[in-house]
Amino acid sequence: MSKLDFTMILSAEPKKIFEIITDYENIIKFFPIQLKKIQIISKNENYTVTEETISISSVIKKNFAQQTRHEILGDFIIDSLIISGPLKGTILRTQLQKENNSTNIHINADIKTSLKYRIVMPLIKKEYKNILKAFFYKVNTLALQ
Amino acid sequence: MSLSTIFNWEQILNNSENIKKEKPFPFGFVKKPFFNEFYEKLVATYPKVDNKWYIPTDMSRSAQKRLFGNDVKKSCFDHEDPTLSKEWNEFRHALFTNEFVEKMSQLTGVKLSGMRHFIFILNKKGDFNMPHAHHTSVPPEQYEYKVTILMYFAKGWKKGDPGGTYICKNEDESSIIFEPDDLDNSMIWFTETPISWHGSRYITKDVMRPSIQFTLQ
Repeated sequence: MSKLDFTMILSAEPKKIFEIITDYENIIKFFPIQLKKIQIISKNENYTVTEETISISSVIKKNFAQQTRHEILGDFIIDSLIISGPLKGTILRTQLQKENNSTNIHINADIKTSLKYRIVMPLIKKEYKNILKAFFYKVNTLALQ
Repeated sequence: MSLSTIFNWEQILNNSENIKKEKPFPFGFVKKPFFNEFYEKLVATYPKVDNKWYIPTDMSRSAQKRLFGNDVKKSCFDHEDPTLSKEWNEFRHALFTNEFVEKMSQLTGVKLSGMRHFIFILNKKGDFNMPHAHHTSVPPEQYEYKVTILMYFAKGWKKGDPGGTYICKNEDESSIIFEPDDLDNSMIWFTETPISWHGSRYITKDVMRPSIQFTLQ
């Protein structure tokens, strides 16, 4: 278990940012090399389940598939729980709050991995943080267009 | 054209700022490495964005890049790019001379043998480069190159604006220890080590950061 908690301040409107991050199948364009495929496999009024095919070659070199359940909890709050794959049990909460002319993006994650990857967890955590920050920078840029 | 009319070696070798020889790794920042007349010509003829430019698909950065002539991404060789100005071709030839390599060895304190790769990088609003190091898990004897250099051609760059290549202690942007604030005729260099962390902050203003990056082996 490893916790990750940070805030970013970006200039796009929270509504626009939220629209982009919940357009699940289009998230592939932010990670064209690493995210080979993403598709919605079920959806109801409470949550959406996506299946992703991921290829990473950094701390861990691995190709794997996972399923993620996304649940919108309120205005601009979403929980994404990984329900299968090597990161099973990882949960990411994203919360957007408008503040003056900017948006506070608060990220809270509880990262879980299988036993064999726990030794490199500090590296995974740092890399995961940078990937998330890069993702939100790109989302912000798109939201401003 | 000789190197002595392109590069201001007195400035480069004797007036480098912020050179840290030990911690966390050797790097330096040089203002006005080019003589002004030549610099202005490079700025005026910096390649325009066209179909030779590409956007890297790396998830940890956003930028536009362009190769020189028939170079490939991981290596370069001494030749001409007929689509570029006389000055850019003269500058490129200069990088391949023994004199240039010897002077850069003198500046960095690293014995260098020649050029490895060269690229134009144009950053604008929305671009960034997350903290990274090039050789985190490679033994030194297998390094592709020993020194990385960035040169900036951003006229009127406003002091304090994000966008210059910073040096940091680790892979977290909060660990920045140096960030160049003058990108109008300046250069930053650092030696390659497993902890040579660097990056550039997210650009929030409508500005352009024309630059080049090259490495020496």
